[in-house]
Amino acid sequence: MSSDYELSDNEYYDEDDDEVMYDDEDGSASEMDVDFRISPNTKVKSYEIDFDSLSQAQVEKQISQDVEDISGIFGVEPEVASLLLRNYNWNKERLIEKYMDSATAVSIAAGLALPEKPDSSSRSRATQSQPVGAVRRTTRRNTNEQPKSGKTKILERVTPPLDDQPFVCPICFDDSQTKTMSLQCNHKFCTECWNAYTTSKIRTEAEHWITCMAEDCKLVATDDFVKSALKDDADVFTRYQELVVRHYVSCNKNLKYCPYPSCTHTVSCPAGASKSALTTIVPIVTCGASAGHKFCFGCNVDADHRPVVCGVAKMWLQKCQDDSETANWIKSNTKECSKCQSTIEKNGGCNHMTCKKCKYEFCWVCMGPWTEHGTAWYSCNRYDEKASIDARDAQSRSRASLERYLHYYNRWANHEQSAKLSVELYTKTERKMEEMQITSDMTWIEVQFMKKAVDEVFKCRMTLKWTYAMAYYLEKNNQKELFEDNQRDLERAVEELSELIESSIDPESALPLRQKVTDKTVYVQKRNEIMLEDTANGFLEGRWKWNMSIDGFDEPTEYAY
Amino acid sequence: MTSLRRIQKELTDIKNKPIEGVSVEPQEDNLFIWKCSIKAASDSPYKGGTFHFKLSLPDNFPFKPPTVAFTTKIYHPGINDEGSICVSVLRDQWKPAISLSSVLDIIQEKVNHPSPDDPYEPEIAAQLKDDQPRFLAVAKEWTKKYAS
Repeated sequence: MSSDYELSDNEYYDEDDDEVMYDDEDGSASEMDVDFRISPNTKVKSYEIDFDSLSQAQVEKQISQDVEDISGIFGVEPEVASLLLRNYNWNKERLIEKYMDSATAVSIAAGLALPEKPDSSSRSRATQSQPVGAVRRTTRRNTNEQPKSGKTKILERVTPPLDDQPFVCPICFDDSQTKTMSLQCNHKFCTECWNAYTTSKIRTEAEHWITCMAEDCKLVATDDFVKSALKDDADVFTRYQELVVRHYVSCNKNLKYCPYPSCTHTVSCPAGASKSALTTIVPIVTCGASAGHKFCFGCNVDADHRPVVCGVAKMWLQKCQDDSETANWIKSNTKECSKCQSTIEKNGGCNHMTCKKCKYEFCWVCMGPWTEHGTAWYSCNRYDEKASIDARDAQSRSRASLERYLHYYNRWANHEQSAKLSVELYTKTERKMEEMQITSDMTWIEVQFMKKAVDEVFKCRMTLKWTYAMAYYLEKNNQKELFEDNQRDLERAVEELSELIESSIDPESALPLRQKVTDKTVYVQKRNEIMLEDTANGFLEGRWKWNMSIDGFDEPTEYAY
Repeated sequence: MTSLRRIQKELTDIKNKPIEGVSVEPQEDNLFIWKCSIKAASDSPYKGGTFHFKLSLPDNFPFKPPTVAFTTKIYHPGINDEGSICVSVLRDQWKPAISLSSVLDIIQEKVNHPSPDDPYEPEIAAQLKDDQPRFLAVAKEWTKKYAS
C-alpha cells in the first residue's frame, strides 16, 4: 500500500476516533467507513480485499480508549482497568458483565486483589460490591498502611524495612540490599531481584503478565510497577508495551500483527476475520511499514497464495512436505516379503524371488511361496487368481495417482524454482538495461520496461504456481476445463514474455523489442488479472468443486482418488 | 553472583533439614548440577527402588526453573522414556521464591504416587487406571531390573 493510503488513515483516525472503535468492535463498517475505504481505489477487483494498516501508536490509541472506558465505568485507575481487560482478553462486554456481578471475584481472579482468607477479620459484606480500589485496602496484611491519597497505590516501596532485623531478600539471600519493592501482597524482594525477574520475563518469555515472585502468589504487576522494577530501562519497557499491543491484537480477530521480523504494524481486515469467509476469499494484505510486508490474513502457509484459498493451499503444502509421496513411491514400486515384511524392489530378472534377509523364496507375481509352484518354473500358473489381480490393481492405481501428483508437483515446483532465480534475473536484466542504453539511444527511463516485464513475470509465476495446486484438487468437470484454459493462456503468455526478456539485443532490434516486450507485458498482466479475477469469482459463487474433502467446503460427490 | 549465593543457601537449607528418602549431591566442579536420588517409599509401587536424577540449574537461576532428568528407568505415567518429568512447578508455575527443597518434595511425591492424570505416558496412565494389578506388576518388575 502506498504511503498516501496510510496518510488518509491517520486523518481518519484523528477525526473520528469513536467511530473507529465501534466499527472494529462489531466488525461491521459504517457507511462512512466504506466510502473512505473505496475511495483510494478506482476499481475494486474481486481478488483484492479491503484492509487497513495501523501503526503501533494507532493500536495503542485504541487500547487506551478501551482502558479509559473501563476506567470510567468502574471508577478504577487506568492501570487497573488495563490489567482487568488483559485478563478478560480485551472482551469489554464480558468484563463489564462479570464485574457488575462481583467486582471482588473479578479482581481476585485478575490478580489485582488478594484472595480473602475465610478467617480474615477484614471479610465483610461491604467489600462485596465495592470497586477494586476499595477491596484492595481490606486485605489482611496492610491494615496499618493506609493510602496517602484518594488514589490507591498498588506499588508499595518500603525503604528501609520497618523491622529491626536487617532485610534479607528471600530470592538472592543478599543481606546488603536495602531497597525493596513489593506488590500489595507485601511479599518484599530486593529491587535487584525484581529487576532481573521482570527483565527475564519480558525478554526471554515475552510475558506481559508479570506476577509476584512469591510461591502461589497470583498478584500481578501494573505497568507503573513494571516500569520502576525495570529501573527505567527504556528498551525493555518498550518491549513490554509492544507485548501488550500484541496481546490486544491477538485477542481481536479483526486484527493481525505483521509477521515480518521486528515489524510493529498491525493490519485490520474484518472481511478476512471469520473462518467461513476463507472459503470464498483469499485475504492477502500488506502492512503500512513496507510494500514487501505482504501476508495472508487467514493463514500462515505462504505470503501470497492467490488465487488458491487457504484450506487448499495448506493441504497442498502438507502433501508436498510430508513423506506420504515417498510412501507412495514405495507402494507403487516395491512389495513386501510375505514372511519377514522386508521391502523389496524388483530390478529385473525372473519372478523367483529369494528374500535377501530371511531367504524366503516366493513368486513376485502372486506373492505365494515358490514351493507351491511345483514344476511350473518361470510361468506362474496362479497368475489369474483374484488376490493377485486385486494386488496388481491396487498397485497400478497407486502408480497412476502418483503420476498425477507428480504432473502437478513438477509444474508447481518449476514456477517456485524460477521465483528463487528471480534475484539472478534481476541483476541480469539490469545489466541488459545498461547495455541497451549504450547500444541504442534509449534513456534509463526508457529501458525501465525490462524491469517491469521481469516483475510481471515473477508475479505471474506465483499465480501459476498456485493454480497447479488448485488444479490438483479440482474435480474434473467443465469448470476445471475453463480454469485450465485460463491457466494455459497465462502460462503461454508468461513463457513468451520470459523468452523475450532473455533474448539478445543488438542496436537494430532494441526498439522493436521494446515495443514487443511492452505489449506482451500488458497482455500478460491482463491474463494474470483474468486468472485471479475468475478464480476469485468462482470462490464467491461457489463454482469450484473438489475431488477431496476440504475443510470448510461441501463433501465431493465422488472421490476420484 | 545472585545464583551462586542462592544455590549455596539452598544447599545449606537442605543439609540442615534433609528430606527423608531424598539424597542430594552437587557436582564437585559445578554447583549448578545436582545429582539426586529418591528412595521409593514403602507404600509406593516402586518400593525397594532407588531412582537417580540430575537437577540442572540455569545460569539465571532462580529466575528460570531448574530442569530435571531421570537417569534411572522407571515405569511411571508422569516420566517418559528420556527421563523427563511432568511437573507444572518446573514449567509455567515456577516462581523465583520457590525453594529447591519444595521442588524436591514435589518430585518425591510424584514418584511415590503415580497418578493416571499424568499425561506424559498416556499408555501407562491408561493402564494404571484400567488394569492396576498389571501396572503394579510391571512397575515392580522394572524397579527390580533397573532400580535396585
